[in-house]
Amino acid sequence: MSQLLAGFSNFFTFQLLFLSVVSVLGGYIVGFLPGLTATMAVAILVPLSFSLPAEQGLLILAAVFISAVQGGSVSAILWNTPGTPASAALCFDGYPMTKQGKAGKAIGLAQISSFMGLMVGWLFLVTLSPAIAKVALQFGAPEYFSIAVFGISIVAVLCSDSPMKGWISAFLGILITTIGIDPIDGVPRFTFDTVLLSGGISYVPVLIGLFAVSEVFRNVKAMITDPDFDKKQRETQRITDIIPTMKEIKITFLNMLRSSLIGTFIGALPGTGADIAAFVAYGEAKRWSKDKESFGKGSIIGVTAPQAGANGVCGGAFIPMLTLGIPGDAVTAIILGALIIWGLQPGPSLFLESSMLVNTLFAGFFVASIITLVVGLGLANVFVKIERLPKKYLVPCIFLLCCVGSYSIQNSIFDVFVAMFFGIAGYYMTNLGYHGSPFVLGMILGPMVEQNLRRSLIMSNGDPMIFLTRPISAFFLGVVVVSLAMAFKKNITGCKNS
Amino acid sequence: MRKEILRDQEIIIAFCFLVVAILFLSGGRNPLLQRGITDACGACFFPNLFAFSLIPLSIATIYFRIKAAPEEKAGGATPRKLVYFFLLAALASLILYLGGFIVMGLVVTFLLCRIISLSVKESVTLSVTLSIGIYLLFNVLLRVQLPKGIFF
Repeated sequence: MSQLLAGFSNFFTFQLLFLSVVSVLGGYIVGFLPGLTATMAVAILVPLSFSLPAEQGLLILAAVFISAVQGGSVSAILWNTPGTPASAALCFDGYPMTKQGKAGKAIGLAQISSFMGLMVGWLFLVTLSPAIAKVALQFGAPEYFSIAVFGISIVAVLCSDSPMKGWISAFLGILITTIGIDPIDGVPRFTFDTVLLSGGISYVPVLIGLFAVSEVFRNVKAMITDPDFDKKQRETQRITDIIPTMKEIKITFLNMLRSSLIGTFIGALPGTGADIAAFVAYGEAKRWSKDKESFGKGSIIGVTAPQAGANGVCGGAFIPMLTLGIPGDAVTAIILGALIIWGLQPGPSLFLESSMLVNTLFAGFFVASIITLVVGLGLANVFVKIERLPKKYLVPCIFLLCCVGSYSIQNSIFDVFVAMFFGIAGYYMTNLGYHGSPFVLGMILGPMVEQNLRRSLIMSNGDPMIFLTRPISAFFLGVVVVSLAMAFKKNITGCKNS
Repeated sequence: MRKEILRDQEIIIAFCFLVVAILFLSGGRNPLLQRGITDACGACFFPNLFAFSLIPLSIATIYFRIKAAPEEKAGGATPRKLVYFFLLAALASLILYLGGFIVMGLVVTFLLCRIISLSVKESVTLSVTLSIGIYLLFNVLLRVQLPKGIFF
């Protein structure tokens, strides 16, 4: 505790505070812009941070990481365009809230739940790092496989209204991820012998296509068929309260806490990330909710769950990185590289040899979270005013941003084509009741399922019992079976009743 | 009746999924994928599993759609102007490749503005402002290398 207080006193200098504010603002804007991810922002900043002392450089990277994940929520809520992959799950309820004229409220709730996620993650980072890292190390390929299958089983909850269409979407998403070089054997799959497909299909252009481009198409259709569409839209849009009421906080508090814990835990597992956490948190929120019907139609819990989950990852991902030298996700992998270049060896020795640096980082993480909340709530009004601009001017702007966003991920023109293709496909699929969410879930979790399934079978010489003989894996598979059986029973009962 | 079935968007899309599944299954017949190098499954096991699962689901969707009442029409017609926009979106990457970002931005934004019935003056102003504004933001400020096109 005294070391943490010393970290705080070391942090509170004008220079570090100023750097935190600038980094948070920069990260927030990067997160807000579609296609620019937190990973990209941190990667760009790493060379710049080397000119600064380690504690300042680390703080900049951590602040950008936190704020970029949070910034992505705004474009997801306002335009159905996930700023970062982690905000994709926020589109399901955030955008419907905007359509109902509650954009301000949705942004406010997202900021509060992000803060909650960050604080829970921070608390675990500061107090239970070694213990959590030890548990995370128990996870091998069979456990990762079971967790990924558990994640995919959320489809049954996400698409309880049309399970068949949900599973079709999820399977298509999984199939798309198998295009490219096989991760275990290294042989090309379904590439039609073209170089373009050998790298596989990145999920960011697919996300942009399914959510943002298809929404542009829907808006264009509305403008073509109804000349007064723009006028009607602006009449329904009003700036609502941004700060959530105590009643709303009370309704969502438990859910935010659960989602934050899920995010922190998933963040602590090496090789995962905020995108997975957001989807799992959303699925669990729906699974536990008494009002499942409101999900996808602008539920406030549907807004707070993915955001708390995504930001819970920020603290969680630092745990294995600092305590074991194993990155929790892609961003912490970059920060780990930066640490090594600064001459610091992550692991238990870091806490002994560079205790002040670690505690200053903890203090910086805490203060940067508060700054991000203030910035997020402060800018919410500005963002909502942008949304009130006439759609006829916004739609071309969003379309161009989609093109740049999908291009900038890998500097590939093919990705722009992919975004447009999935935009058209998403337009028809959504019109016909195929949700984009299971598709994206399949794309995000598909590779994790496949790689860990095959790794596990290699470990066990082809014996599938490995998944049942390991307790953590068996537990998650058991939960999957129970939840699928319950969803199936509910569907059968629903069919009989109707 | 048969004409209506063939025009039903839900049946068409389910048929497309069926084709996708068959394409993946036929791709999985590649001997290189079937022989597992490091594991017994081989590289085709996982995609085959999901492609196989997709087939009955797609067939069931088509079946239930045909069985459904004819008045339950899904989707709705696509306006001609929207089809033009689809074409424009599909061509955007080609224009990006040939002309670079600024040219693509100018052309695509101008045509999109015309599709949504903005005046020529508004379309020109918006396309120039957006293309140059976004170029400056990404290329100059955020250092994202945007394509310059093969002619420049």
